[in-house]
Amino acid sequence: MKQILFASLMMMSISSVYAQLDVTAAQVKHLYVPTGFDSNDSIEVVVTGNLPNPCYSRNTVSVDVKDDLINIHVSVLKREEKLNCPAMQVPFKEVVSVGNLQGGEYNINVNGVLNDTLKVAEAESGAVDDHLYAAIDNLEHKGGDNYVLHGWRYSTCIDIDKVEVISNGKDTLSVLPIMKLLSDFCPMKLTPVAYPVKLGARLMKMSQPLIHVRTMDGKSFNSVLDLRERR
Amino acid sequence: MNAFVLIFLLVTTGSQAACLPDSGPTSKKILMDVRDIENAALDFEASVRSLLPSGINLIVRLEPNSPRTNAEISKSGNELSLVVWGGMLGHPEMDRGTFLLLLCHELGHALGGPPLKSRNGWSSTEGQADYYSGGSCFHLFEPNEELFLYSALKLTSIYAHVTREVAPDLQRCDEVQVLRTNYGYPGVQCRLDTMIAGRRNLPRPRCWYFPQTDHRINMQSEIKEEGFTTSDFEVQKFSIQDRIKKLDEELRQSPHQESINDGQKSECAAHYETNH
Repeated sequence: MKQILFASLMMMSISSVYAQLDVTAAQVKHLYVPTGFDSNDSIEVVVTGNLPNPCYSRNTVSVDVKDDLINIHVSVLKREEKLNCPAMQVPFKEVVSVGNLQGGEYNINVNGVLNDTLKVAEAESGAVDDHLYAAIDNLEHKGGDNYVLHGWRYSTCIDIDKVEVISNGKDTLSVLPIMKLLSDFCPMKLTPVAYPVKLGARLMKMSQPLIHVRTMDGKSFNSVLDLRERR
Repeated sequence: MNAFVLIFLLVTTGSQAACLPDSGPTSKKILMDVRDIENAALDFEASVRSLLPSGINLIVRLEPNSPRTNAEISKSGNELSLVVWGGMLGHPEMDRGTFLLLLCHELGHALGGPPLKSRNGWSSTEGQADYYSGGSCFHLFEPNEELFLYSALKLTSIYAHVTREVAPDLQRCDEVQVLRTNYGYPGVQCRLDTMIAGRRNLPRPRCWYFPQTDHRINMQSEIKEEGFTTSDFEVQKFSIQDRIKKLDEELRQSPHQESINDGQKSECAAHYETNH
């Protein structure tokens, strides 16, 4: 009898600590839609939000494209723990890969809450894709509008050509670090690189803009700046 | 009314060449190639004239002094402008057949039909332009399949050189199966497979193409548009019903469905095995 009672107490104890995981829709706050994509790009958008407390964690992101509607569902995992769940919001950022799209205008919906439009231009009809972006993995603020793109150069046969900056006129600056080919011979030689770039003053008027840097691997490096304290 | 070819030959100056030790022989080689290529461009103009809708002009422009290894077609009013840059013209793999196939690819952007790069645009996707080049265009110049394969392999090898991809191979097949149509550049092996599929009148390979019914919506809207659209060209060859029938046939004959349902090799791989 004692053994049964002990086992029952143990089960109750375990179930209270290791409760089931619930998958729920994330509390999304903002959708950033960069500009400058064309039908040759792998398109990415950025969703930010808050987890209600540390007992929530990021889970999956699903993307469904049907005609001109892009439905994005961002989910979170919720642990039913009674302990260690202090009341504090945890910000998160999801870089959502939408993939390659036909040129045109699309409506994006995130969790039925956020909406925006995405414009995909028609790519130039070149025989072969000869565009190349730098491999960037960090962004450093140097004061004012001055920033530095940090990354890697994989070979001496390429070098930076120019850095183009395109604003979506709202909340996102797309940074395109365009490389040029110096030689047909490309020996592997990994060297760190730093490219200074001046980002537009107009963007700095926004408190939390997204800097979306296109990278060599066809994807992007994304950084949401928090400029509230600097004002 | 009639198509015409306008060729600009920009000759490198001797003084410029003298500044760079390697530029002398390089310039000489490019100039020799351009003469051959000029004749090929004239042949191209004469042969594709019948494919163009009435009132559409075609300009082929060669820019041998540009180092860029590429070619491009653009549209302005009733004029199609096709440019080939020097890096492409002077590439070691470039020859008459490869050049003609390249021109066919660019023309395929204008005449290839859906899938288009943009819903309301005029240009076929890269994959569709490849499919057109092998199927509807290159046979005008080269009826021999072996020579076609040789040219297709050389052209996609140039693409591989530019994009730093593994060189394509006639004995291989791109086994990627997309879940959505790739509106950008497929891999070079996929592009070779697509040219061959076009040549042999096979369904478009699943490495870039996903059969979908919303192409029908595109086609209906294209026909309603006025002015110079891809549908202007397409209407000459296919009725809407014919095109829908063709799409339905592709849906049924998709290599993806065969490989999943029957556990067989893709049509691409099987086809190579039986022909080589």
